[in-house]
Amino acid sequence: MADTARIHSLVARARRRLRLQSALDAAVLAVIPAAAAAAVVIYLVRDDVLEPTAGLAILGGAALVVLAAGALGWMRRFPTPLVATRIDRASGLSDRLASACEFEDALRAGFDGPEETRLLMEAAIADAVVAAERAQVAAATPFRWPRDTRAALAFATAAVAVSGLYLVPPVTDPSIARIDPPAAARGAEIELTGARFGEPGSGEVVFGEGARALPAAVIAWEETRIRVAVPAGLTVGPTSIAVHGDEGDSAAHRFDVLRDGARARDPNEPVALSEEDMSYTRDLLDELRRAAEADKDVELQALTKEIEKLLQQAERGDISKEELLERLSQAHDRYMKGGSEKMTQEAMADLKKTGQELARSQLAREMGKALEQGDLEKARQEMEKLAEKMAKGEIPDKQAQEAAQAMEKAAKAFEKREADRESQAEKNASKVEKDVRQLERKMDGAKSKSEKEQLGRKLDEKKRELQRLEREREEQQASQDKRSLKRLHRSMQQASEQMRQKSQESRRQASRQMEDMARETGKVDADKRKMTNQKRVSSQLEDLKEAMRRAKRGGTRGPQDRFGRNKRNADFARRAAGQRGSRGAWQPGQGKPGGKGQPGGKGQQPGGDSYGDSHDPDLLGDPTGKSGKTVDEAVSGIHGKGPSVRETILSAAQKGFASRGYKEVYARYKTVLEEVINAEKVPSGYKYYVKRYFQKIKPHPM
Amino acid sequence: MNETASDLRQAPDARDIETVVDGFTTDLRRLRQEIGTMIVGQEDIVEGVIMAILGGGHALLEGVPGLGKTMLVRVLAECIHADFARIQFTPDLMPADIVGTNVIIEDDRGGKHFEFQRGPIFANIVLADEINRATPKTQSALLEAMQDSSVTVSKHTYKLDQPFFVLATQNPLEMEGTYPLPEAQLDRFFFKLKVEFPDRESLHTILDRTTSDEQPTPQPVLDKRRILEMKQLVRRVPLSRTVQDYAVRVLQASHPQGASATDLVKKFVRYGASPRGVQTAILGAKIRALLDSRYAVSIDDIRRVMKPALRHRILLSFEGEAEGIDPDKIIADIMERTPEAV
Repeated sequence: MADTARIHSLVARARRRLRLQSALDAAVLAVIPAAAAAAVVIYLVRDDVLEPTAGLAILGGAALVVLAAGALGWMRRFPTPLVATRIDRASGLSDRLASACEFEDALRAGFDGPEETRLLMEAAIADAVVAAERAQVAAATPFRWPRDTRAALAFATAAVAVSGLYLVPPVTDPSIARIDPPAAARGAEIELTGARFGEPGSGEVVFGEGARALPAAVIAWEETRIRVAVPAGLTVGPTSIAVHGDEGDSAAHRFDVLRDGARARDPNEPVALSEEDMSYTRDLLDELRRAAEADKDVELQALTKEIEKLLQQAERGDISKEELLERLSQAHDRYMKGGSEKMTQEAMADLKKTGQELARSQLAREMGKALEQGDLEKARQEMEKLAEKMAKGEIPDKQAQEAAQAMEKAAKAFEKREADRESQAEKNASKVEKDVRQLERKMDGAKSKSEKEQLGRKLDEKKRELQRLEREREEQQASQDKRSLKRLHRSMQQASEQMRQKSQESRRQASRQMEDMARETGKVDADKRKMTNQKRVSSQLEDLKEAMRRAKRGGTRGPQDRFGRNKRNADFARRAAGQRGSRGAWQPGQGKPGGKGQPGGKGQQPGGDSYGDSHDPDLLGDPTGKSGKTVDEAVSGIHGKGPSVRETILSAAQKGFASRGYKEVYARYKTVLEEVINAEKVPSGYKYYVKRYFQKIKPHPM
Repeated sequence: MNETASDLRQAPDARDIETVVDGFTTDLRRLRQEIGTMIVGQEDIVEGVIMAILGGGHALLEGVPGLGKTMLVRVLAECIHADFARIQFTPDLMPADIVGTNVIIEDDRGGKHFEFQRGPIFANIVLADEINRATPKTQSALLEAMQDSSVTVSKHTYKLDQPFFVLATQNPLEMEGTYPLPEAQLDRFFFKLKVEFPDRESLHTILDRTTSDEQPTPQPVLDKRRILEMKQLVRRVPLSRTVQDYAVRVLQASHPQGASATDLVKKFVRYGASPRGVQTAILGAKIRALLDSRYAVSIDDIRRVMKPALRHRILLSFEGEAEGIDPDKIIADIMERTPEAV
């Protein structure tokens, strides 16, 4: 067998190089903890916590750790085939060395295979010995920087920096970073987060300051977190909270004590509309938009756009829910400005009377009838027609005279009514004024306190009435309708005068006056329409606000869905639209056991000396929960009878809420609903549910 | 060992084994050269076919028609002085058309008896052209002969003459009306070789040779006995554990369930190569080492033969089929990611 010493020396050299690299890697890795330990030791020695001798010993230990790691790295095993293969690969020896080493071992151990194989092995070894001349050990095992050099250098630098630095003594006062929640009722649990609270039992949490300070019962105490109960002895309102520790006290932080049972709310949480609310809101907006388009009400269109924008902003979280509600109200008020229902009704009544008068003449009969029926659009058209005829001179004299008479009569009647109304209003006002003066005199002469109070209340009432009357008068004067009406009748009066004269010129004048009449009628008509829309919008906006308020109550995660109602509703809507529902949505809900009851307050506070000025926020409350003792039982259907699942789904998809019959029924019911809701004073909370129900069972487009 | 009264028996030392290896290398080179006079530009295919013969297996050639597959086999048969048969596979080809059948023979005295008429399978080198055109029944008749080197006709088993080598071809383009070989049958093939289209230089040479007057004729350079001897020597070539371990790790990495599977394997392979794959790879590598005048197999030898040895044994997943992944790509990826020594 050829002498393989050359191969073995090559492998040994490569192995030494690999071990050196491994030792270096391990030592550099060990430098990281050693340097960290050294930094700590130096700091402690400087701080006199540690004796210098002990510090030196630990530093020596750290150095030993590095050496030991290096030694361990050196001990790493590198099997001969691995090293030989590395040399073969780097030198392009086609695995000759690795094969030779293995064959040598196999032959030494007594190879018992075919003779030819043994010979081939020997030949391979001899071949490898020749090839070993070409081996490049350095290329096979190149040295490189250890992987962790940078980290080790950084740690070593830090250790050197620490040993050369003077560090300020640490702060020992506790500090509060956060109080959660920042307001709570007495007896509620709150959590303080902060730093340096110390060991459990080493301090206390104090509510209030000075003589009224009250320590709180500690529930849990950690270095950075304390849970305490708000003491029962506190009064409702703002107070302070502080942590008193062994080493010092924290700064006092504000804390609000709420009424018992109240829960703190974040006013800036986003509105979080549920999907259902969204579709409801969208529906309302759609209705508004349709109304705006149908009546070409520019103002209403602008309003709709504004509301849409506001809702988008709220959804994105740009504005808080408070702001949203505030701005919805503002938009609402802006739209509602101008025009009052009473004025419009009065105007319509006046027009009706005028119409009755006009209907008596043959020429103005149609016009009169339209006015009488309140169809102002038709009346306007009739007036225009009449004006045209008049201008063309197509009207027989007799008819014109007759019409002129009727018109004059109507105009005069209006003027008289107007004058009556004004004098009546004045009379009312002066009467109330007189009452006020009388009451004032009585007040001065009142003897007992109770009598004075009684008189005072009456006086306030009268004063308010006076104010109301004045406001009404102002309104009447400012009213667009009233002005239009006056102008209409003045034009009518002038037209009648012109019509009586038979000249062509005066007829033309009359025609012009009639055009004016038509214009003014159009104005009243527009006002009336706006009034109708305002009424509708008002109700719609109330609904919208109600939806917002509900969403707000639900907090960031949307309205509570304790009984899986939302899920079922969504499923219902899907089925109604002819899609497949999900079975899971209809499984029975899981009752939650009731919470722990809170002990009643002590009732220390004396009753206030004024009426309450707000409502209990929890008046509506949560739905009654199950006691938790009930057992849920899944109800299973009976096989054999009734339509199959497929039939049920198909019929829902085909008939469902999309059939014509259903549409008709729905329209009938909806009309009744709207009448009732508008006529009766239904609480907005109820209205919300009824409307939402109808929105849900609305027929779907085919 | 005794019946192959070879030179090896009389080779007592390393010097003689060197001569034996030299003889092997020279013979193989001559064979390659001789085939090269007829076949141009397909050196890898020629080498692969020679490896399959010496490894005792059969080869599957995949390539479009007209690339000289039939020519290659015929030249090979002439060069080793062996019988040659060609079977064109068609859908109506029956097993009896391949192995032969009993026919009634009337003798001089008027008596009749059955006599077995040998089919084309009874040759040293059989070209099974377009093997995937025949029905599975016929395919399996051939495959039985390939596996056992014998055919059985009505209770009588006929041994086939050695060396027996089947070279099947398959056209990758026309898949209409074909019966693709099942995986178990593909596994029987030593190598699957892909016949590429020759390059420009080779095309010039082919044209020069085939369109002029003089037609070269191949000369026999080896005989059947020598082939059997060489087959014997190949199996004696030693192989270190490190190299064998590399081949095993590559095989393991081709299994998507294995711990060492590469991402490509996990994504596109349904089932990895069988142990036969690594057997053929190692036999092929041994021949390569001898061709290179080396006495032991190296990792590079294994790498050279991994693709033909494994490509028909890796079963692609549905995703792999849909993406049109080439198994060669997966094998290359595995080899790249498998470390040489651990």
